[in-house]
Amino acid sequence: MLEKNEVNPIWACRAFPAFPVVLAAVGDGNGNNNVLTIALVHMFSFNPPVLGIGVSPARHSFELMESSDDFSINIPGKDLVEEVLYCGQRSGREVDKFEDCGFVASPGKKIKSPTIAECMVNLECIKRQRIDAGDHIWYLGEVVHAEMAKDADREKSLMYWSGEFRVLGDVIRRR
Amino acid sequence: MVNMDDKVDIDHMGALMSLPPAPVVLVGVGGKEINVITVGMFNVFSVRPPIVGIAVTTSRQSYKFLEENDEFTINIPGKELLEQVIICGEKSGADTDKFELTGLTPVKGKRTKAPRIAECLLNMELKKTQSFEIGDHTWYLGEIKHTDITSDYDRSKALLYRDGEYWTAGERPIKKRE
Repeated sequence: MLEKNEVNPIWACRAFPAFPVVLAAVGDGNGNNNVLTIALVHMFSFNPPVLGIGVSPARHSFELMESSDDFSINIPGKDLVEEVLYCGQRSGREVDKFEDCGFVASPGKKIKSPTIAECMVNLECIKRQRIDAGDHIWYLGEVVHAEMAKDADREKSLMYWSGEFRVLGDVIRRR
Repeated sequence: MVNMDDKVDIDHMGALMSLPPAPVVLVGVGGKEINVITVGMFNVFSVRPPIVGIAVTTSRQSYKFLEENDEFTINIPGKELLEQVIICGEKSGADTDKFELTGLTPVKGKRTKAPRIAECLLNMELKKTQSFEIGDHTWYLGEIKHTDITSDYDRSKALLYRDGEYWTAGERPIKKRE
């Protein structure tokens, strides 16, 4: 189990990798949980810290996302690349992704949805706005609680774009 | 330096797939009066229809331009435009002509009135679909109407920005989905 510290949500958002792929977890607090791989995720506001995820209405988790007041965004390290792929390609209709991936669903500290223990960063989000923007519904959630592995490092997080999993390249200049 | 003669037009899906991860973009706004701003908040919202969005803080001069016009452009700079990108982020259009100051060339859009930036690798023309406020930012979403891209475009050369750091994507992906 990763050793984690509670961190300020505003500060935690800085751990959010550029063009990430994340695991979102949503649940009703009664053990009805699902995890989904999300590449459509972005920061929407710095203060208050608001993150948003885009979910296609065709996905199994859509109903849970619609009815839940909250969700968690979990940032996987590159060691979880196979699990991330699995959670993106399989549906919660057919498989239990927590069980198949060996993920531990930790109870949220401030939300009903679980967080994923194996991820480097866990961001607990309460839904603030819902945006219908075409073929995805976006859920914007304020980060109300955040935990981060003691050795979490953006360099270790996965990046994803059109079929390619990457890690961060070179910094060419600092402000 | 890149100019419009180096470019070809591509379809909307090709345009979406050409966007680099975490780009810093130059946004062209206005009609008669024009301005260019550096924006670090960019997101793809929908694939079909192709909708992307940018966010600005409300204190910026171009907020007015984005409110008053229903069109804008998103332009992806290469890393050779780093200094121009910094200037367009730090100076205000209220007291500076940023095109004159940076030497960036505004070019009329093919399907919109908003200015495109000739020196950028990719020029995307958008029609505003909606805007909303959340926290400290106002988001403007637009549907892609036209995109021009350099014929030797490589998105791993695009300038990226995150949390005070400019960088480019790693040379090689660590894994490709089969």
